[in-house]
Amino acid sequence: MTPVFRHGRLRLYLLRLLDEEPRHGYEVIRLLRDRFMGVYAPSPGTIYPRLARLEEEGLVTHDEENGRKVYRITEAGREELRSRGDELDELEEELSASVSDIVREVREDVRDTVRSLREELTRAAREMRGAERDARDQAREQAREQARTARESAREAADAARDRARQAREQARDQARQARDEAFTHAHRLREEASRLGGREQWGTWGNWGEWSRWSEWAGRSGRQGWPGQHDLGALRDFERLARDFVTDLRSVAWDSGTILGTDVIPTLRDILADTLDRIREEVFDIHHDSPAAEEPSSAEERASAEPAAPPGDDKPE
Amino acid sequence: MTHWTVDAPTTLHFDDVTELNVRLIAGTVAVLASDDRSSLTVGELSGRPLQVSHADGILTVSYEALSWEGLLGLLKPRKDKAVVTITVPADCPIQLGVISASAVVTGLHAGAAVKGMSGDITLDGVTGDVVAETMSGEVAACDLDGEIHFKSMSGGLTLAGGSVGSLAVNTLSGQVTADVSLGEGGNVHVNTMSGEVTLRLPADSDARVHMHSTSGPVRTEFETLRTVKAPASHTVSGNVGAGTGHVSVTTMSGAVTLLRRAPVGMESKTQ
Repeated sequence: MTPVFRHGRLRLYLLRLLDEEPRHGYEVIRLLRDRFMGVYAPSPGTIYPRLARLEEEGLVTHDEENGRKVYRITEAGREELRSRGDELDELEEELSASVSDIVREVREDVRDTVRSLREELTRAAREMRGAERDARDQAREQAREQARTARESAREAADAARDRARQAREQARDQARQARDEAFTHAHRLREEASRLGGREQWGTWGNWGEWSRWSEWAGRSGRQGWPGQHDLGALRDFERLARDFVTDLRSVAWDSGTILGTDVIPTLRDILADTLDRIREEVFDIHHDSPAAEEPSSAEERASAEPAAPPGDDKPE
Repeated sequence: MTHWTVDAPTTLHFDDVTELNVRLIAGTVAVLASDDRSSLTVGELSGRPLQVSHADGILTVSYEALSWEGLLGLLKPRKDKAVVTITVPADCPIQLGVISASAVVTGLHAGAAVKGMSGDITLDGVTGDVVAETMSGEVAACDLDGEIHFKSMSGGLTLAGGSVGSLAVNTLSGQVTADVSLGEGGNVHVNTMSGEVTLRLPADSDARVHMHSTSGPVRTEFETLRTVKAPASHTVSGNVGAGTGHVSVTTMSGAVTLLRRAPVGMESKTQ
């Protein structure tokens, strides 16, 4: 707060207060304090010496009332007030300015308090909301984590199942291949035996090896002709079964692959089968054929349709 | 009856003021309690002169043809501006009506009614029946004690400290913030449309609580209260302490938060 009383002003104000009516020293102090809303509270140590000094100068006088001094302005005091009228007006202005100061202070004080309260409560509310949100987020995160774990384990299980299925398929394929190899070896032995017994010319009439129908015919014929040895007949049956199993395997592989048979699958398959047939022809049966191999699937169909036509017999391979 | 027409800054003194009525348009009106003689100081003045009258202890400060009832109907912008500071005895009831002027009231013990349009209202240490009504002005109050009525359109209310016998708040979009303690059997009733409500009561308060928001969230730090969430209805209710007092908050879309003030000495903040 700005100094309420500049030099000499308090003295003037004291005179003014006593000019209104005679007052106790204590009353003067209280009036001053009230005047400034408690902002300016002169101590008795300030006021009494000043009153005493005014009395010395003859501007005030005092009476004893119930043991207390009651100060009263003198004519000299009034004269002083009158002579300093301008200053007194100025003082009044300053005093009202001081009251405005008080008003401003009150307002700023209240606004500061209110603002800090609002901030505090807003912060507290936000913290409370934040705590709730944290808990919620945590729960949500946990659920998400669980879902992720479940998904992953499910995926792992699926992968494992797929792996197992693949392994089983591969194993089956290996077994089939092995069986086929065995059968081929067997057939090779059979052929060798046949060539040893019947001579190569007989096999020469079998130029078109790919035509299974002939094989069937031959098998029937072979029975009539009294193919030597039950063993050879069993080999023949094995061979027939092998070929049939191959078709079955081929079909099941196509189904198991799970992919829809596209048109691009057939040419690839045809090439592989043709190559395989060529290889079988050359490596197993030692037949050299220049023209491309016939299509095995169609041959198989032919064979199937031809089979009923084959002459029945006990030794007919099934 | 004494009458003054004030057209320049001045100070007037009055004996025996038992009631105060002030109607201002723009500027500031401040009313302070004082044991000294009542006084009126006009600091700044522009526009029409102020009419001051003192009759039967009733001090009235106004403009010509500006009655208390018609005050809030005056939507026409005026240029009449005055900065007025008034001191009255603390036990003097007052009525202030302002348009855009801001009002400051401090230290009065016989209540105060302040109605404003856009001016801010500041109340400090006022006890008794306190009525504050405003359109868009903010009301800031410290250490009120007694029956408090507050009404606003968009103006917010902040109550810092003090003890309320009853606090009634009605606002459309004003934000309501109050940190008070409930008097014995005290009531708090807050109604808002969209205004956010944040209350803080002492931990050892004693009240039946019902807080409801149609679409806003309702939260509390008091653990004895029950939260019921339903579509288009968030409610927190129950008893705090014995439940002799009453706290009721109703809002359409505002958020409601009831905070708990830690008992003295248990505050987390240490000086």
